[in-house]
Amino acid sequence: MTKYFHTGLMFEPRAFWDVKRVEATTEQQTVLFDTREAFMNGSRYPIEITEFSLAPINYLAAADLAGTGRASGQAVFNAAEAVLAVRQRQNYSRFPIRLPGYSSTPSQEPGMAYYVPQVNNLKNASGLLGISHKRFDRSLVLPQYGSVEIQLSTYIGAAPAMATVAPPTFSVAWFEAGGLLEGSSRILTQRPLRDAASPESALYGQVIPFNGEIPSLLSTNATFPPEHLFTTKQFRAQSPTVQGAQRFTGVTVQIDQIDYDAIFSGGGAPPVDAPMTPLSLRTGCRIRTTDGGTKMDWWRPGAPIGLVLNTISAALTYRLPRPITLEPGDQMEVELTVPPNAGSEEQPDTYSIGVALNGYAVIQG
Amino acid sequence: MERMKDWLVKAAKQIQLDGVLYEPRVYFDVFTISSDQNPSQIVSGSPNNIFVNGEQFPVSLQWMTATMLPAAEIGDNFGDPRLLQRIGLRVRYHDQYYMARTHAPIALWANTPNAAPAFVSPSTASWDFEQPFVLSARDSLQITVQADPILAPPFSEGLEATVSVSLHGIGLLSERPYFFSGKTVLTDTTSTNLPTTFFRNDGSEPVVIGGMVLNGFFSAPSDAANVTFPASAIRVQCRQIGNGTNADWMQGPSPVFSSQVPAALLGAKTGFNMLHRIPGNGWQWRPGEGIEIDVNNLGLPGDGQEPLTYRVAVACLGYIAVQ
Repeated sequence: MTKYFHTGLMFEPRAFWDVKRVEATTEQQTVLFDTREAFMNGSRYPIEITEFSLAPINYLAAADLAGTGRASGQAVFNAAEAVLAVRQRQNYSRFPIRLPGYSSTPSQEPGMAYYVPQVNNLKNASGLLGISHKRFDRSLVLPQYGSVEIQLSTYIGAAPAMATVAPPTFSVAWFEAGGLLEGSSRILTQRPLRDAASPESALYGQVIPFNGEIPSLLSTNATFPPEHLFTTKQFRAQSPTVQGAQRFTGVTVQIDQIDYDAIFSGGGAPPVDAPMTPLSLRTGCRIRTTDGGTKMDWWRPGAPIGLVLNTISAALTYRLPRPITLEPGDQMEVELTVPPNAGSEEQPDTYSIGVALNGYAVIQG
Repeated sequence: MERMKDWLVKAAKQIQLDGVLYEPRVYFDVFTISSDQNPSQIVSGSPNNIFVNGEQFPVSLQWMTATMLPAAEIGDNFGDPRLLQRIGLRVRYHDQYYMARTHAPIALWANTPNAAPAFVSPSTASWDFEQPFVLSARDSLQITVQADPILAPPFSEGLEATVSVSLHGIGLLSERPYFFSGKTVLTDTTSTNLPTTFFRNDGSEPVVIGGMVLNGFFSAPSDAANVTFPASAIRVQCRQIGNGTNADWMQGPSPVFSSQVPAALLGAKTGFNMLHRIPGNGWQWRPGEGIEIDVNNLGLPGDGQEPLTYRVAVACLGYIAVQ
């Protein structure tokens, strides 16, 4: 453990992210992720970027009903080209990088599509475990009574009309090193995941596809409802009986959407004959240390869970051969060239893409 | 592949030098939970101390895995593997809890990606041994496979499954690759030994075995032919014939369940299971040491009128070091 201290440096995970709605056209187009300062290091500390994650955000299903696969937004990643650059200073490639030309990091959880064919009602389930896990590149060290807070947002697109099922639930685990069994965890178990009462209070707007009114299962107007917070008090209450600083090695958010998937796949209206999208690509999160550490948000609040907790997640993740360091004030430019995508009946006008640059802040003093 | 080879060569040299013999070990138990149990009703493991090192050499464990098993009361027999999300899991060692005192949903334990390509994932379990073992010249392996007996009704109606077990390694002297593979067609739920000739080292040098892969697919009925047969419905046992300890690799709750491990629990590299990397250097059990594992119900569904019974299997994977 001493090796984590003798440098005098501390590390906290960080991510820069953005979600863009793109107009579906028959022409190839270049999309600049230009939300103001989304990719700027506005902190006092250098940030090392180690991974690049992409995912279709806020889709109900992972493919369209006609089975073409286009409407999910997933298809664009088969043909997309990316540009990563620091404006007027550093381009990381001479031409846009063709994403299919690079091997992504194995980061998916097992899918259900090819489970026993006799059990066809499971083939459209969103996944086996429903988790988004982040293993920290560098451990997060907190003082003995330090704490960290995680909060989830709502999602939109609750259920087809007349569905009467329990809402999805979420759980959280912080993985901690040390102790008699080499580790332990601080856990928040199974809380209902609330949905947004209206598109105005939803982080990423209306879910795609949108088929008229979508009744809620358990709704709220708050974007980050207090019930979705793993509080400092709950976190500290699980402090192990060990002296000194604590070293955290990862965090997991698990969303149980078994019943939620079933209402769309099991004959509800409108049924979706396609794999459901994990709610981790429709729900945002915010994390910050509250005692110890920088006490800054690890990323702009609202990052899709799957984009930033990306060691195991539904997002597509590329690990950079070497980290890119963003000094305070540096800004990355992220562009994606996407192929023609004319839209379809279910997804008439737009599709939606999320991008994140993941890494960690290097903190001195 | 090159890195794998380097690793194996390094391991092989280490085996030559340190004089320690390694052999894989799996400790597993099966827990039966009813959907009408409330979370405060803790389901303990089988009564005969499964998760204990009962041999006279130290054991090192690196992985925990878990999978749902087929359920007889559920119409389609194979059940819903996602219900791992609705079962809580906890480990106890000298009154210390892991991961926490509160039972955490099993899915929340997963901390290592292990998805195989989607079309083979449910039927495949592969495990790269943390320490390879040596299959000496003329040695073989006795590998037993069986379909879960709870599936007797569909087998009696014509279901058939082809099950294969494969191991791979390199020659200790030549460093050339070796592959051993055997398969059988299961037409009922009786236990079947794969012929030992499939796994016999007929070469002139010891072979360092680095990993094993299990796979199953439906041979019949014809409408399901060649598609995935869940690895959770296949059981397997293995032991070395010749050198080594000659002991069973898989230690289960026999005779309560069977000493054959559900194959899905071997998915420490790829598989259709929860995979948890034990932190630090893993757990070291000296002879007689072990842990207790218990589970609880966090919302398993009934059928609307009657409670349903589910089975979940949990395993610890690693190796024994014999000197």
